[in-house]
Amino acid sequence: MSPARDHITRLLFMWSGLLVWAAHFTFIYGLAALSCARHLASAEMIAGFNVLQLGIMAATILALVVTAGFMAVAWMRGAAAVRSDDGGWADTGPFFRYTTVVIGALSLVAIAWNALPALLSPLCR
Amino acid sequence: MSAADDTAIVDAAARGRPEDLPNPVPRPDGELERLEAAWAPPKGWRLISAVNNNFIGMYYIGTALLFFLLAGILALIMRTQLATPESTLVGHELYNQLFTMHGTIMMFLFAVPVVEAFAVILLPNLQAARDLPFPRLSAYAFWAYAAGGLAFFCSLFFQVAPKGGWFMYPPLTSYEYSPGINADFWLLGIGFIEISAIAGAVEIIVGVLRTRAPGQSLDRLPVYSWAMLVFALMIVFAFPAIILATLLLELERAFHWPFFVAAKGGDPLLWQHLFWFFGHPEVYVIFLPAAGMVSMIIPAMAQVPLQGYRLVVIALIGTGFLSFGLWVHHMFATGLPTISLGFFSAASMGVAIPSGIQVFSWIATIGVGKLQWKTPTYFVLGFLFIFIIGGLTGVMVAMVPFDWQVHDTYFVVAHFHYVLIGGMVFPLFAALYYWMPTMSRNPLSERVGKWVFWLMFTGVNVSFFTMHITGLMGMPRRVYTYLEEMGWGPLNMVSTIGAYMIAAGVLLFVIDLFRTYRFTFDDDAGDLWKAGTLEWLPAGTYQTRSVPIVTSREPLWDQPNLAEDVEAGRYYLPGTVTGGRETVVTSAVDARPQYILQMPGPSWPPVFAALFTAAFFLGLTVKLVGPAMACGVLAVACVIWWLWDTDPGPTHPPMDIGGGLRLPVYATGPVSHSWWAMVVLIMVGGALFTCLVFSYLFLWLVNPQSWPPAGVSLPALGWPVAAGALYLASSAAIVIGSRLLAHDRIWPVVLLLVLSVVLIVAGIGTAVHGETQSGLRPEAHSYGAIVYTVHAVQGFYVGTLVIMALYTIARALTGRLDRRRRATFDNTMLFWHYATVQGLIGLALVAGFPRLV
Repeated sequence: MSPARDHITRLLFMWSGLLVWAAHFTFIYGLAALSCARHLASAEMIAGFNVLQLGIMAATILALVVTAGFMAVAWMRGAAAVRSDDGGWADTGPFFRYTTVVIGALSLVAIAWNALPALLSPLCR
Repeated sequence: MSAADDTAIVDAAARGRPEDLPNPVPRPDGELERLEAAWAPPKGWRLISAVNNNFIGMYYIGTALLFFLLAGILALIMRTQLATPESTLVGHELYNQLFTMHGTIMMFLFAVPVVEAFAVILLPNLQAARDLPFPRLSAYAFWAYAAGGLAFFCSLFFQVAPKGGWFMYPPLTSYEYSPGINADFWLLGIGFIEISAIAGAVEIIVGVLRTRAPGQSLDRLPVYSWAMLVFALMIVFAFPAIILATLLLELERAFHWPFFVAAKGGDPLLWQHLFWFFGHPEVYVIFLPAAGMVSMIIPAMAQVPLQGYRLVVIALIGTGFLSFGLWVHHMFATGLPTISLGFFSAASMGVAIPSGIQVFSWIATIGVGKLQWKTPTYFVLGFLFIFIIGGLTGVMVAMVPFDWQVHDTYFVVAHFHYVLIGGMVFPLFAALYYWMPTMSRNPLSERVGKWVFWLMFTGVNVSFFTMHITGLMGMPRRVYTYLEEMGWGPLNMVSTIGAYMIAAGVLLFVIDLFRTYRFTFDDDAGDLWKAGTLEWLPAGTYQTRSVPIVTSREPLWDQPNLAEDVEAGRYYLPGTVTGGRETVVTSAVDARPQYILQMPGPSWPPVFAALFTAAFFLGLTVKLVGPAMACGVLAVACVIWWLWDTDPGPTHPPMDIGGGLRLPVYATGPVSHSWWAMVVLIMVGGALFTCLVFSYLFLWLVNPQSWPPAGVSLPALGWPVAAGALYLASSAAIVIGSRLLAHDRIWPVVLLLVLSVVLIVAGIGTAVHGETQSGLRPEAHSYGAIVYTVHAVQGFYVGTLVIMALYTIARALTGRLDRRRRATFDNTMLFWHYATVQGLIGLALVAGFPRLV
């Protein structure tokens, strides 16, 4: 990978939690819009939940797991591995490690919090 | 140069050991004079052609402040009208124009431009770059905005100003209820000014990421630069939505393509989605730069580093993302499904977390340090007070049931003025007082400044706190008068008195500005606050004499003798190595020096290009299609004239900038700044196209059982398949051309470019021919309208590619293209592949999706 693309990849990895949040938000909003417009959310399927609620639950669990995965990778990669390629100029390893993990934590809260209305509120009224 | 040398030099910079810094002193005779000559500004009326960030930044800030005053005067007229019940000062017709123009100008012509303007001035200073990477793009963005904005404002004097409110909801603003050209002024004027904002955003993203002081890695980046990076990325993703929205509404108004007409399968809510997908991030687009300014001002005024730097950076990024999940909270009263409202209500509360992180960080910094009680401090504290109240009422209106009660009342007016004045205007005034000593010979007056603050602070609270109550008493917004029996008279009078207090404060500020401000780039008032960041280094038009190595977030506090060593020329690039303007381009993450970018001096083409672009849009607005088209052609010609001397090739061998560091003077491919700008432009295109796909799917969703509508048949599958194959073939020809260019086989490259143009034009022609063959008409139903729009957007890209290809061919034929000098070709290729991918997705959408469902 070229150095320039490597820089972009590092920035995207830093933001990984929020990128997952964005994908999750887009999916659950789209699913809700589709289900309500096409009346797909009326019939219960499993354990009293309808297709919309089940879809949101599955997407949420997946999003939380993926985000936690990014956090774990960032944490385990640690500072040392990244430090070597910064030479004498800078040492951005610890910064990226910390920001990736905390952004991930913020995203976990945001993902779970965003999905909560699926369980708590009426759906398509 | 070895890594060991790097370490020694970086260490010398950190400890301030002058003998180990990159360049010895005394510097050779004439070095400083040559640097000054390279950066000498033009004289007299030729100052218009200046492109240097000092000049463009000042023009930009001055023009934005002018619009602030103009929109403020409109507000005063409205407040005077509302001071008493049944007032007859202005009628409903003018009042509608006044509130529309007040909101539109404040948001589009003041708030966004003024924060971009500050970035143009501040970013190179904060990052010790000699200028932003594309000075002429800044100049173009400024002149387009100034000319377009002033023409837009003048529509008021001819009673043709838009009057549909700053969010211009159809059906009120479509052809049926808004005939005449008032709405067109908004759609074409604002759509065009957004293009200028995007140009600024491209400049800022590449500037923040690629033109920094060596060693100023992302963990040492000033918070303001972080804020501007997030700000510019938000513009890249949010503003295309409003550009698409204005395009669709203009198509509906001009050609009756029914995107928003319910009777023909359209839906007015589509406009609201697109508008607020831009409009809500817009609030944070305005707030984040202001928050970035506050994060610079508080540490300097408290004389301690910002507490929780990393958390503040995370908060900026978090806000940038989460703010895209809020747009429907402007649409709580439109009857969307409860679950959708729930998502957006939750996200609206969630975004308070990163905002709260920043507020607590500022309070902690104030608590740890000892504040200097100067005017910037007053405005920052005023900001905290007003913004927090605005934030709290924001959480209130994020609750759906509460929002239903106060929707479209003065409570909402109070809320968003607290957010915008608190969150943006007060930090801006703090910034003007704080940074004026870097831009002017004299600072602004402290004594007058405190009067300005107390008048504005009291005025804002008197005027807008009252409106919460007026709103709860039921007064709707956007009414030009009210009956005395409603009982709103006394509260309105109080609000009006508050508005005049704000005006008095602003007037005092303007008088003081005229009294004390004297433009300078080398004799400024200096570091009055004993701040720690690089913008307080001694500077000239070329910014700093030499380019420092940065080893800390507050280099002036932590690196001994930094200012003296920079000014003596001990650091990198103490003169000009190519004889012209130049700056050091650094890597994005760790700010390692990569190459020397040769920069342009004063230049007319961007000014002319901007004026002709403005004339093109203005001409279309007033239906002078012929002259408008001529201006459009001239604008493109001026852009080509401007571009012609870019991509200079490796005109010099690698040059020594000090300490044995030899840098190339030219770069192509992913390391080059122009590659990054092209990637950002492609992100803009991707965002616009995503909004278009969303619009298509939205219209499909609201048209059950009629997609395509009855009586319309899909084109035979052969047409879209052939079109897709042609798109792919054109990209393949470009790839082969790229391989041949690596071997300097220029003529085959030219022939392949011609072939690519033929293929891609044939591709779009085939796609559209397939639709016309099936008898699809765009004005009959929203289905046809959106299908043709997908093709039309692709057609626009194809047209752009034709111009780019012809330009590349012209460079090849004049000896300006070869295996080493190939940035132009690479950029054309990148954009070509993007257009091919977009075209394929578009074909799959319009030809494949209806067959699937």
